[in-house]
Amino acid sequence: MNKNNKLLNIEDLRVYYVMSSGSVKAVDRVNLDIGKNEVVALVGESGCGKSTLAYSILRIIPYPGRIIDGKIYFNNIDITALPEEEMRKKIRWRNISMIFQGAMNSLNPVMKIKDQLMEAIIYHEDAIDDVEGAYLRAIDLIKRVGLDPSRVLESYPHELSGGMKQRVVIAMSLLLNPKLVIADEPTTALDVTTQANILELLRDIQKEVGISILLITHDLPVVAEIADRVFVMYAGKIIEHADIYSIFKEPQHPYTDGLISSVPSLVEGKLKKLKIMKGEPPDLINPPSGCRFHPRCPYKMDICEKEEPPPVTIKEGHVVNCWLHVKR
Amino acid sequence: METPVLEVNNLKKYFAVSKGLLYSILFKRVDYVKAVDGISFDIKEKEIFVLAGETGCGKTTTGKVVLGLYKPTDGQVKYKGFDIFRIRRRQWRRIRHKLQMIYQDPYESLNPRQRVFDIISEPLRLNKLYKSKDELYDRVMKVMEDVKLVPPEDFMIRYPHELSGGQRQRVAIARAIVTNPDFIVADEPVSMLDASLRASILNLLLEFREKLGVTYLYITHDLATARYVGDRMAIMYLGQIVEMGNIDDLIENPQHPYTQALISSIPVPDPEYTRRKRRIRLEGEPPTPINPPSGCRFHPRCPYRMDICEKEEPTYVDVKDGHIVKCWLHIKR
Amino acid sequence: MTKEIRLRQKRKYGERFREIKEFLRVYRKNRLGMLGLSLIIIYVIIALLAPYITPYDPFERVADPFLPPNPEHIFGTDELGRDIFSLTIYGTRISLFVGILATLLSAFIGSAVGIVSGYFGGLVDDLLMRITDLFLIIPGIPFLIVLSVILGSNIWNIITVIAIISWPSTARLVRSETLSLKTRTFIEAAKLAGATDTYILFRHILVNVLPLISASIILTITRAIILEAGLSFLGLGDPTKISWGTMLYFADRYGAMFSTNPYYIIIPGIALSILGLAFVFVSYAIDEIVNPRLKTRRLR
Repeated sequence: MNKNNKLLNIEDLRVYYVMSSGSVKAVDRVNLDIGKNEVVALVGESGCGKSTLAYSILRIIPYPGRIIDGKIYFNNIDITALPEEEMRKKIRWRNISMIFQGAMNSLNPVMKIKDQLMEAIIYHEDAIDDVEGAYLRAIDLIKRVGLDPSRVLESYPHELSGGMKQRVVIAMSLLLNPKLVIADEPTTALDVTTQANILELLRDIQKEVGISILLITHDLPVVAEIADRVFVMYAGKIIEHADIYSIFKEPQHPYTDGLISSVPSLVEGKLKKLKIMKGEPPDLINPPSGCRFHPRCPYKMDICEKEEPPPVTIKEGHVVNCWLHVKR
Repeated sequence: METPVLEVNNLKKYFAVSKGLLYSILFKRVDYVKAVDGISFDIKEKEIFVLAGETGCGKTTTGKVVLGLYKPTDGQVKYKGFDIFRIRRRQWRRIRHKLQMIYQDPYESLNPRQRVFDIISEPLRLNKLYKSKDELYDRVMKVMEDVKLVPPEDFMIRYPHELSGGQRQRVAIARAIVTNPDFIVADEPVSMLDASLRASILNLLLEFREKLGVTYLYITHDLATARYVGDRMAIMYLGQIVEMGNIDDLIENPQHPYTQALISSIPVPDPEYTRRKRRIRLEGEPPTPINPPSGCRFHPRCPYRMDICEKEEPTYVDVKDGHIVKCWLHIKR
Repeated sequence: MTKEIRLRQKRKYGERFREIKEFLRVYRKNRLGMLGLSLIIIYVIIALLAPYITPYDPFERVADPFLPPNPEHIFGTDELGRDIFSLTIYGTRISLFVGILATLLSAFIGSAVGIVSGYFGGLVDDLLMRITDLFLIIPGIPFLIVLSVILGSNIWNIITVIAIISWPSTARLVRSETLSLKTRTFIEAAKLAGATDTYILFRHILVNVLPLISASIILTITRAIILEAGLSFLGLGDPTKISWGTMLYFADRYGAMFSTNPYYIIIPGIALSILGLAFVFVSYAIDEIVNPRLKTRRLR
């Protein structure tokens, strides 16, 4: 069935939002893989389909979106074919959990943290034997995310700071010992010093517990800080992926290059001449023909408009979809 | 010596915390949020002065007081030598359009029911800064070309919801510069935009400094973009400036423990560098500005805390050519 | 060059109604809304053409009293021998007239109070809102009865009285919308551009609360028509005018229900119910379009 021992393997996935005005091709023939004990970053700008990709892994795509075709293998099981009941019981949260964007602001304001954590534990009743066990687990998790259980468990969300709430949300994602945690912009609304603490926490937990993390973000410095491998997404497609050092040192796709050279660096300051990318990301109902980046690409050739570039392996584990690298 | 474009002296802005009429009568006291508590700085012509700090440090409040949107509790704001809270109303009306603001969120800062032409021309119409209809159109066209909303005709008749985030921010900038202001407060102007669009907006701001001689107060929490555009920077913590100086010097040789921690926490888009650097971890999170800590406000979180820090507030010390820091570590006793 | 711009400006005014067109395009898809709208249009046409539709003069005795329906008088006659069908047609005029005028008056007062109170806040807000509360807690019907007794029963007084008890809910609605608009930064940006409070109130606040006001008008109309009928039914209507309420009043008073012609009470009742229902349908439809929470979520 599946040839490698990756934790997650997405093959040729297409997810469209089907509407009367046309289909939004949010995810269009995407291949992505996550190994065991790995932090993989999915980088892209708003509206490129990266959140939709995350939702498809959990099969919680909002209406009217649906998986058109493609496979998602988790531990060599195709989860696109699982019945909903099994998905809910065996995969969602049990094996793959998610830290949603802005989740710290969607904690229930009238429930104590303790009750919110335990509710989730008890909901998956067969995961834990009894209420006391659930309580011990909650204490354990709160400690693990670096908070003081006696202070936090009896509090309501408004009594906690942003950083503390984000830690609670991380604790919730770890409730059932998942193997993969999807983190959608986990540090966006946080202050710099808090952001650094949260990133460090994610890194520590990942090493300690041995989970894999799929980090979804648009923030390149954060990616540089924490990820092992990077997938770059543009207009519903993965256009390049490589290990973290190759991506930042030798980006091969003009978009990746443009993205990296348009981010100011604290160290280089004014010495770094920022590259300006022309135009704006396309709309996904009628994406450009051929290579989707061609209208904004500084190296555009005739073929780019006509045909979609095939994946080219630059070196082991570094793959780019760009005509510049296709030998003809 | 030339007069600075903006001079801020010992500025304070307290907001009363409303706990109800009964509470204030019974306890005869009103609590205040000391959003800004005694800050001073000045900005020279064509300078980009950065006010940086974390949420709730008072940087946005400062920006609004400086524009006259809030009345200060105490202290002075001088624009080209005029105290903006003392001059006559009439005179203030005449110069008010010379001070403008660019907001963080271009979805909130444009009236959804106005067309782009009306949004951009509004400051000109309100201040009667044009002689004829033709001149009005020409100026709007010109400024739209300046912010690269081209061709202007295509954008003029659109509503904000028909534009992308980047285009909206360009409309907001066009509106701010259409009156040829001398001074602009830019409050996180790129933090809501996608990475690939930020550089062009930043360059636009730099371009207007060269072409129109605009002076900026750039408010941000993002020190990397700050360093790209800024000349001088002040770091704020709980309503006070803890360190101020030339931006390169300040980022390379931070003197205040808070600045040091802040700078060491910022990820850099270079995996090798960012994983090698040493990070100073801070305890806790910023306390509220309602009852700030005694002495040095940073002392509860400071790794180098001394006895005196809790008791007395430190004064500013000049460590190098106008690079000043408010910390007991630098005060020789 | 400027000529070219003027041409484009002209096109701009051609596009001015684009929003309304877009609204109508969506509205047309709403079946219940279209049903309501057609009914209202029919009522309006009936009201306008009343003298040409009615077979008899509604103020004249044309047959024996309490005649049951017959070929000459399809709904029979009333206690004075007047034609019920003609009376009902004429009643449409008064019901619509009172409903619409009272609503406009109430929308005007409510919007003005709401906007001023929300925008200026502080003491002005406190004062205006306490007054609004006062009117809100007044029990509607008894107050109306007392007022119309004091003012006397003529149609203008009825309109005033209905407006007086309807405006507070509009004021509340408009105020809360204004409060949320006030915090949007485009208001502050307008101040920086040199706008005065009056300018901001009209150019920035009012245009943004207008959709809300129009939605509330539709709802108020229904209420106003029913109130007018209620008042008249209690015998507080204008006795010189025919409305469905006064018809019901007399029908009740002369025991029409148990007379030879129960249609005397049924027909104006049905006319009233259908009109009320029509407005409710329209307001549902508008609510579905205007209220963003009912719209499908924007895709990320």
